[in-house]
Amino acid sequence: MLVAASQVVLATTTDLTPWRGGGFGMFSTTDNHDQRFLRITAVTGAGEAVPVDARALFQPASPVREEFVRARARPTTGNLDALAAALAGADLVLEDGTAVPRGPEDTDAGETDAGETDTGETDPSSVAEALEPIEVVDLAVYRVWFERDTDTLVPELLVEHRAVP
Amino acid sequence: MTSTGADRHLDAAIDASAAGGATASRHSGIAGRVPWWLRWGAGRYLDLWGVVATITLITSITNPPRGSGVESQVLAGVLLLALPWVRQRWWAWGLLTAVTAWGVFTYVLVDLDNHHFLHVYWLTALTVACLAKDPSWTLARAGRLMVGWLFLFATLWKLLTPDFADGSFFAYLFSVDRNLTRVPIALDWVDPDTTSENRIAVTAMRHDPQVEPHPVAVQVAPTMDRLSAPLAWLTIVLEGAVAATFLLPLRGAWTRWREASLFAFVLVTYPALPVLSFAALLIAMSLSATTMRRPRAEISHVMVILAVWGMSEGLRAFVG
Repeated sequence: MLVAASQVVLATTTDLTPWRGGGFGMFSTTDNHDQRFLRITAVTGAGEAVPVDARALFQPASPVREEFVRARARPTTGNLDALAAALAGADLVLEDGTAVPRGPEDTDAGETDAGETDTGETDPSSVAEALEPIEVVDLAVYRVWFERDTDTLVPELLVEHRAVP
Repeated sequence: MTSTGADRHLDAAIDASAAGGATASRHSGIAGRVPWWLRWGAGRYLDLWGVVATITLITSITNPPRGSGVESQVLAGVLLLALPWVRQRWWAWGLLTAVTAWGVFTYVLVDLDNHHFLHVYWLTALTVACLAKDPSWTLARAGRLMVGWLFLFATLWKLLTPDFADGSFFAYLFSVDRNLTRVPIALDWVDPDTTSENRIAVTAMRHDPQVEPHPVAVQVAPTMDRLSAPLAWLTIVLEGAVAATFLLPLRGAWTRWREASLFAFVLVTYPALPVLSFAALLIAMSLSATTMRRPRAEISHVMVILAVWGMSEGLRAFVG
């Protein structure tokens, strides 16, 4: 009872989603951890602003999954800073202009000769380009509401935060 | 090892039954053909405590709380096999509680569903009940209050959040959610292609990092448009009824409303949701607190779990 009651207070007074935190608010609102989403921009040392594929951060193999889950369900300054720090420490690569965690196939390409041509030269198209060191991370957490009058899903900016990891 | 009072009574009852069976076998030759050890084991699995423990352990094996690893599954499997000997041993349930709780509470807490917490609470209740003078009474009280309080909190949440009671939540989920749309699709209330289009539109807005977040139009089927608010209120009434009947000190035939409201809620809700383990835990708690006659109590509770499982699998097979 203590945990469930505390969760009611926390979720109604902070940005904790009612679905999480040990309470019983599941299936009561569209403000669900799974419906929330993040827009993340990593600013490199060269001053380049690169969007980060936030969905890729949630994948089981993602090195920042825990930090992502915490930041999404309860976007406190601490949790957002932790996600930014984890991103800065993670091995991110560029795919179609978006930063994603390096996958096993990217690692293979980087660590073996899979990216080399028959002549021993590196084929630039087969090796994922590593993201330059991150200086600043801009994070925005959104939740969604469903407008019954217009049958429209409306995103609402919950928290915006700039972190310097 | 010492037996608890309840187990001593059960042993005596089974011995008497076995003796009676042996006597009867001389006359009828039917009951006597069942070996005594099988009757002894079956009696310890099939009485009320045995069924509650079996449901709980099967849930721990098939759907352990997130964070608890294979060790809690293996331990639950061992306890299930050894149930006739360990069914009311506090150390057996305590060990499973400790192993499960360690996994759960060292996991990312905000990544846990409420039933993962509930699973640990229920294992703790079983452990504490084994230490009590009257384990069955203690477990019954714990089970009844846990169901009552969790449904009270669930009802409170649905009343607190404005987008539930006005039907917005259901209108959205019944138009987008892969699990919840199975029922309206099966009833031909919703077009599966429309729900797929809705999902694609919503996913693109939420997850494409190159896209600025913007409002997305969702196609809500006319039937779901009409039904979403009444369904929301039906849910509130059902959950509120479960909370009231389990928390109020009902007597006699009034206690039937506990099973009636919980069974109705479980049968309406869980075929569509991917949380059969939650339904099973609720049923185990309800069974521990039941005032129904045996074996009707055990049979009805188990039948509800099987019905939910069957409907859930049927929906998956039919709708995909």
